[in-house]
Amino acid sequence: MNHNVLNRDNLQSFYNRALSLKERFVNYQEICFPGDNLHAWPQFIYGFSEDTFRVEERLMQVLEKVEFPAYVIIDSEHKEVLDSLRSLGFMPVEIWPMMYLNISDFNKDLQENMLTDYDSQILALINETHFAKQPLEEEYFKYLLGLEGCMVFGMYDADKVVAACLTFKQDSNLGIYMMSTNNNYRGKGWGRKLLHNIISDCKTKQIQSLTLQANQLSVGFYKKIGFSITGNYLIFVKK
Amino acid sequence: MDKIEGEIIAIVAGILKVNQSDLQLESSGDSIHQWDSLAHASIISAVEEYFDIKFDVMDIIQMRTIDDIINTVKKVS
Repeated sequence: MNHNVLNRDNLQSFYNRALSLKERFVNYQEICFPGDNLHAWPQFIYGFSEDTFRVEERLMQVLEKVEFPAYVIIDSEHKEVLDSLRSLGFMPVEIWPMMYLNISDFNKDLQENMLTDYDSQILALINETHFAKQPLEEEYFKYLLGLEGCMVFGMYDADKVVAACLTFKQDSNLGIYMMSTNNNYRGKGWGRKLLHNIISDCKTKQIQSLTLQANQLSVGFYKKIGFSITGNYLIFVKK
Repeated sequence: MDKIEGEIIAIVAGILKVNQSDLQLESSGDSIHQWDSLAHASIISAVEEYFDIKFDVMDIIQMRTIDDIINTVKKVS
């Protein structure tokens, strides 16, 4: 039972997974249950974006149905909702910087060692990095890849996939999810190379910007590549 | 160690169910396995209750280590 509890190690992976289910997470305003029912893992993720109209009322309605612990993911700009959450007994536990990169600022032209087709090694690496305790099934992963605008990118060292991520194209923006680097290849430039390759690929597809949600550990890495912080998501939990 | 430090270490040790001697000022979720986000929320709630204070949301987010908690309590009190 315990392995199904969200914690700071796996919450972001969940959020990635939740966001990847685009049809259930339109504009970050829908209640999101990545599983099929209220008892699935995670039990509750709720996101808000620009419109905070009736947020409190909607939150109260939702909270009547969920089991705790429950998590709320919210843009830190919504000060009044932050206070409401506090008064409802929610506690902020994480901050995820929203990061943005304008592609036109980049002149990289790499396409080396890059893979853009499904390879079971990519799923294995993503599972190892983000979903160790509850791996994504191949069928589900292929379903994601079949969604409009979804692509997978991987980097090879010889015949081994050492870095990978999923991307979703929406209009002229590309969202990056599930960034994964093999443990033995971390800190050696493979993640950077992967992003440079993706940027290079974007230039041929009329994509103008990249966005992603970082966390406190990875924000420095993305800044070095050229991403800047455009805002923050706060993660609240109630036991 | 001053009084506030001792009290906060006792609160954290109680919630994480570890010995006070296992905790240092720099202990955090990165070094203590049991210190996950739920435990963090419990720690902050317990500290607020004990000292009868209310932390600012951004202050809570910035608190990672025991030392951070001590400093924030001293700032707010």
